[in-house]
Amino acid sequence: MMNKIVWILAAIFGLAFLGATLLNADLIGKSRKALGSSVLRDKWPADSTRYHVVVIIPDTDDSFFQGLLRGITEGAPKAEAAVQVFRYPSSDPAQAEAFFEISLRAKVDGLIMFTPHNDRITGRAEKVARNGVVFIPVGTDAPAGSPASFIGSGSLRQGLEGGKRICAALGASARIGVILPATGSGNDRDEPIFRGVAAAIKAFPGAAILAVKRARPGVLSGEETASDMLHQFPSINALFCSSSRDTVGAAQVVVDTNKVGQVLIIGSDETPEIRRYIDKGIIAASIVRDSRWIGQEAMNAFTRLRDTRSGAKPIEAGYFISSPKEPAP
Amino acid sequence: MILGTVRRKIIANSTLVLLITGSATFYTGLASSELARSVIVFFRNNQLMNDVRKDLARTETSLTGYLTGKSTDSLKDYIRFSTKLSEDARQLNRDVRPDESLLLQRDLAGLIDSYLEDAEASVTAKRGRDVRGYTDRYESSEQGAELARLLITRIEGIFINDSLKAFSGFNASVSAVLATNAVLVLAATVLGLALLVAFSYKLTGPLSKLAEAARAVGRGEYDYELPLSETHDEIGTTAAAFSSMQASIRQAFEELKSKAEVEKRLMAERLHVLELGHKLKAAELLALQTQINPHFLFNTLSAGMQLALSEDADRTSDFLENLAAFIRYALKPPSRLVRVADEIECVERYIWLLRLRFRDRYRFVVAADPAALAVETPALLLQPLVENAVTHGLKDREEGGVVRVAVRLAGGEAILSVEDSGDGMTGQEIEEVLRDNPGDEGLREGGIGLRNVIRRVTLATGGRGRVEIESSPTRGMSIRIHLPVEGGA
Repeated sequence: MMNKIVWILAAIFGLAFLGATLLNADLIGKSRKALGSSVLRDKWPADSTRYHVVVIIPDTDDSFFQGLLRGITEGAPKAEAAVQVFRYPSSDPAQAEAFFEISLRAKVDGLIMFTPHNDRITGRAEKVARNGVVFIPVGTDAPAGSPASFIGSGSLRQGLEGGKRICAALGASARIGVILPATGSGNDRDEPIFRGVAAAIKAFPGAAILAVKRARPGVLSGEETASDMLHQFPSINALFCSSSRDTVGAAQVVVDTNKVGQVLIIGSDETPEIRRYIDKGIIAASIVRDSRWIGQEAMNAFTRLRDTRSGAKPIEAGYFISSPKEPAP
Repeated sequence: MILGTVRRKIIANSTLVLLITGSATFYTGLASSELARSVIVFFRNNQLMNDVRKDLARTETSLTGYLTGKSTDSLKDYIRFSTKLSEDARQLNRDVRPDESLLLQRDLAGLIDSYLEDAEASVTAKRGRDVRGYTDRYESSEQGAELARLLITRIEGIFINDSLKAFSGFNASVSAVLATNAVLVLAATVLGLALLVAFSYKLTGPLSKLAEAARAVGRGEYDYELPLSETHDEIGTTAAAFSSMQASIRQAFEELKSKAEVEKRLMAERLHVLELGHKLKAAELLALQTQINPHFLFNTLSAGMQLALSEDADRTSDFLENLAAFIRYALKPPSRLVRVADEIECVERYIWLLRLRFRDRYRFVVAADPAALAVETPALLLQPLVENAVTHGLKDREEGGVVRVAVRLAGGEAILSVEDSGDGMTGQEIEEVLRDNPGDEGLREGGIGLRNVIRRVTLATGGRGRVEIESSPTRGMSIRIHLPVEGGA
């Protein structure tokens, strides 16, 4: 009897021993793998590359910047570059200056920086040049004094196309509200995108821009701005949004206030959600800036400037339309 | 070698138990140390960042102290801390790899390099009394230090995230490992305990049986069966030796028992001999006593015979003469050997005396073969038989009773017979007489006399003589004494 008990206990011990061995081995393996791939970084995520490129962009979920970053990342291997991204809050552009300084003092090889149209780019370009860093400003509208390496998609043309689309749909009865991007600053009526819309409606006497307002940084600010605008100006029958985030917010407000069909929405850029609203007819069309292409071109420009230190020229990325009849490519 | 087996078993068992518990402890310790190592590694990079931050602050402080006070101590501190900061920076990644943390480290390394350049330039300018120079470079260094702190904060955040991510990678396994290790320790403890208990039972079991056997032998149970030991160690050897000793004791005890039986028998025989001796002594004493009386009796009878002759009473004189002769013969030791002729003479005198008493009531016939008269025979064999025949066999016969005494030789034997025509003895009475029983209880008077005769015949002839008895209620009783004749066929 005693021998039987001993054998049973020995079997239990053997199983526990085996289990403990396997679990310990598993734990050690996981531990070393996790530590090696993260903390220890003894297994490098990739081979080292030749060039260190810093990207400084606003910390926003705007699809423009998502596309821009995707394009830069896709172009990095070809440019033999490792991409480092610094994001600064849209509400605190001064942090962008800190990242700019860091990049220069760290002596990175390239710097791709979102540059609003009113940026003090001249001084920045000079400073970069003194430190031997390849500088490629990207954005929508080239600031005054921008270096030749600027790559962007002009918002004036975007506003013009949006105004045309609204007037084509509503004609002289168009009562337009314009929501400006949170990434800009300065006088609203000096924004190229607003000037584009204003220029477009001149061909339709009677059509008017009733409201123009800059969205605040934040996820819900587009919805907030559209709601305020429609509340203050009930006669508004068309909204022009200059970012993907504001476009989705405006569409939600129109749906929530049961004004689908009463308020025409012309948006900017394209996300799956925007595409869904377009397919449902809530958003009439979206003017899509090809930020991905801009990113790819920025890396191409880095390669060119790095190798030749000359030959840069401004590049206008343009746009395309996404509508029920014109799906995005 | 058998010796030392138990010791080896104890050592092996103890080693096994220690190995079991040791392995459990080893695994538990391994898991714990791995966990501890992981935790240490988690914060290794954060420790580096902490060092950079601390050395950066000390360098700033000492630099500011030197630039404002130009003290030698501040300069020494600056040199010490800036060297340390430089060493810290050398531990940072400087490769270009597509990883945020590594690129941030590279940025930080560049920033620290830049900071140290500015700091060194400001010290140089201070020594050169270039106020504008050291002021500008100091401001630049301060800006660089601020940016470095910004990066350090970012890197620390990434390291913390990395640590949490790494920890969560195996944290789920930790609980399972700890639980399994606890089960392992528990199982090891229970198994070790069970092994100890089982081994103790196995070791002490044969000892307990041996002790029980020893107690049984102590109680005198020499037949107690000690189970055969299956082990070939000291205990098995001891058990085998004990069994062998037990068998020896049992054999010795049997021998003692056998000896005791023999001695008991010898003692009984000795007692019997002593008893016989005692009886003999008593008989001799009695004989001595009776030797006094016979002399007196013979003298008296002789005096009576002389008196009867002087008074011419011849018949009385014959009576006294025969009586005296008979008594003289009868009172001599009965164990003596006499001739058959003497026995015949004794019987004839006894018959003469009986005829005086019974006259012609009974008829006595004595026939002796002359060839048998010289044969030796124990004394007084025939007289008691004749006396029995008259006293018992013919006692109820008023007349016509016959007693025949005959002696003859046949087959190398002298056959002395006494026959009567009386009632004889029953079969049971004959069996009682012939039974080899030292006591005379239950025998009638005649039976005692007959048994006495039989015994004396047996003793005198060494068992070669025998007595035959034939009896029938209608034909009377016949007793034949067969005596071996020396030199006979």
